[in-house]
Amino acid sequence: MIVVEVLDHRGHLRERVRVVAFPASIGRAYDNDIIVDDRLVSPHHARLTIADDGWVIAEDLDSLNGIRGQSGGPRISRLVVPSGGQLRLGRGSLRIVDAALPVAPAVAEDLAQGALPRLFGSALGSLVICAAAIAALTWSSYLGGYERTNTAKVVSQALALALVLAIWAGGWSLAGRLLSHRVSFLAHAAVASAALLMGVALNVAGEWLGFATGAERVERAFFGMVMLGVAIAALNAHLRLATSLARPRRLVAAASLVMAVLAFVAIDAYGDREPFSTEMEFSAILKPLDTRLVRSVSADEFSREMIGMQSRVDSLALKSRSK
Amino acid sequence: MTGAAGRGRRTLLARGIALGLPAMAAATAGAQESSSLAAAVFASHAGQVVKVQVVETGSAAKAVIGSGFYATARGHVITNYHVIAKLVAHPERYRAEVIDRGGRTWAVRLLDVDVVSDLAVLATDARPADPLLLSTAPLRQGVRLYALGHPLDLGLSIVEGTYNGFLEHTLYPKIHFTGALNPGMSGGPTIDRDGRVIGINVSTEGNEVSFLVPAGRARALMDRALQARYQPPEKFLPVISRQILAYQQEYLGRLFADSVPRVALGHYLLPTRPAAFFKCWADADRDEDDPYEETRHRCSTDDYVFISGDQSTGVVEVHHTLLHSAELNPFRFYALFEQRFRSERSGSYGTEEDLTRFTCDARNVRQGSLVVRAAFCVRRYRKLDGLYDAVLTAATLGDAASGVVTTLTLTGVSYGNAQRIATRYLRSIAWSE
Repeated sequence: MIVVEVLDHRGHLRERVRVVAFPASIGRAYDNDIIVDDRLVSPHHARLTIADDGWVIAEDLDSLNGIRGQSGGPRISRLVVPSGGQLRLGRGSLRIVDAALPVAPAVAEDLAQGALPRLFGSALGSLVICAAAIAALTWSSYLGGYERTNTAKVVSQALALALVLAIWAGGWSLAGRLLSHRVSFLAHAAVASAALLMGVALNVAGEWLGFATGAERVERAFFGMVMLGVAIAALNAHLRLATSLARPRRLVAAASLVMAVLAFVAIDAYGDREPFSTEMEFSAILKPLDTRLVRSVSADEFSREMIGMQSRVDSLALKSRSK
Repeated sequence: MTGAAGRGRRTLLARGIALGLPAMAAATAGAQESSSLAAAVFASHAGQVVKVQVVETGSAAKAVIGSGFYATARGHVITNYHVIAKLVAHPERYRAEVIDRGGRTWAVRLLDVDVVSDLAVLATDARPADPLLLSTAPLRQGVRLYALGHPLDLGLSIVEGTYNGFLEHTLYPKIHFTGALNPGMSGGPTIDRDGRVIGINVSTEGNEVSFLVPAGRARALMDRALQARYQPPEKFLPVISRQILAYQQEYLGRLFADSVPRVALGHYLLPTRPAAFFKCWADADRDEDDPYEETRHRCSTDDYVFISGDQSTGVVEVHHTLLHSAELNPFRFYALFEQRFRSERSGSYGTEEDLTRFTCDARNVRQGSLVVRAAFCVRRYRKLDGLYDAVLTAATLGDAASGVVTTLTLTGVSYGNAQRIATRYLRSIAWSE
């Protein structure tokens, strides 16, 4: 006994039909055993027979568009299809599966959903994440300022953040509504919030570690890379909620989008670069950290480093003079 | 580093820049009100004063005008270095000439310069009958003096004023002349009633506060340039480098060396007024609207060396900013502290033609019982070999409610001095209970 799987043009499974008797007819007409709803498929398009040795054979019934092998190619009047193999007709294809093919055991409900979808799936979970992100951003912006402020100012800033988040989630919801008939407003908001939370955490961690170790650039580069990963993951999650793209294509789309934005920023910065500046570029991060936790050098070591700098300064003068 | 214009003091360059009517009125009024003595002084000595012009060779147009005077019967003219600075920087683009009282134009050859005193000696083929004599005899404060020159290229003028002695707190002597010097008079002589040159017009702070280079400096330069075996150099830029290097070695050699005078800001002891030629100011901000207090302390040398219209050098500056807050939590206090530290990064004026970018090294440095975040930044002069600008800036760490940002700026110094003095400076920062 075999099962015929009807696949659409994107390879998504549309229907499974158990074939109990041969020959089995295929076509758009309602009297067929396997009905394929596709304007390119003739009312009576093809039929499946079974050979003595058990092979399934597809035969073209002089249809308009014919049948083809799994990888396309020219139309074929008669095609042997192995178990698990496919034949193409119309825009989609048919996959022949042996009914005896074993399937994997069931997985528990929560595992199948994964930890993130569970959190993002529930309205409460989403709201908690959004609130946490808004609180974290507002708090870090409060700690990053030094002017006198009051509750109303802090609250209005938080509300402004919530508004921006709502607009962002709204945009994705609209896209989802158009592309895959799913809105998922709260889930989109939660995805963006989670990314923001990660961003705040990475930024804080980068600054403190950079200050404590004195190697701000290394820290910045590392956390920048992680931040890039977070952005791609967030975009991937948005796409997953809003479209029906397969996982590999989603990841490619998310990564390309992030890279495109990065490239744009880089090109823009390159265009604005100043070949000469009177600015002194040094790391000026200061944190209220116990000085015992800060990596430091003695004044003597620093003084020796100053001597070592001269060759770098001088080479700069030589380099641009030869230009 | 701090440009001439930025310091409010102006050298007396005229480049077709009108300074407005009040300045001109002051100059001419001074001349009209002058006594018959001034008229006599003018009548007997105006013939020795010349107009110095730097001309762009391509367009034959005047780029700079200034004044000068005959100092020998062989036609040597003394003027300011800054009048002929373009000729030094771009000898291929400019030539200079002097025009005497009779309207005759003489081609000139640059013989020697003293960039630190802002003087230059020019050789001409003129043979003046009665050159002016340089006088180093002491004068009493209040003596009448007469400045001669070409203010704003309006024609030779005489300005009567008063001798007010030598400036205090300067590394090299400068005469304080109370009288309206105006652009174009640069390089002209200021003489006494007998026609002896007391000083050379060089700069003004406005409101009749003007400065003269003492005649003794011109005498020293002339003595050097008139030696029998003296040959003017092919290129003057290396000469200028050497002069500035010698100058900085003289005044920086012992700076912060032994016992450094220190000022207490909060619990911090910080270097201050390292030598008598520094001027210091302090100021405290306690704005009711701000949740913090800010105390500033600043010391700077008053002398600067004019190199070109784009570049001055030779200024040393020290400044401290103490921040304290009883109100801000440690995180917010450090946001303020970091902002003040960060603002030290905007370096001072300069152009790519003259300077490289800054190269910096920043570290957390242990100094006594303190740890400071210190950055040392250096840039090199492109045209003047061996000269650098250096900045050491440091922020004290470890206190959650107070901190100091302190910055030492050195301009036109050797690398060795930059490194040594920055180290001494860093070592003199301390904490006191």
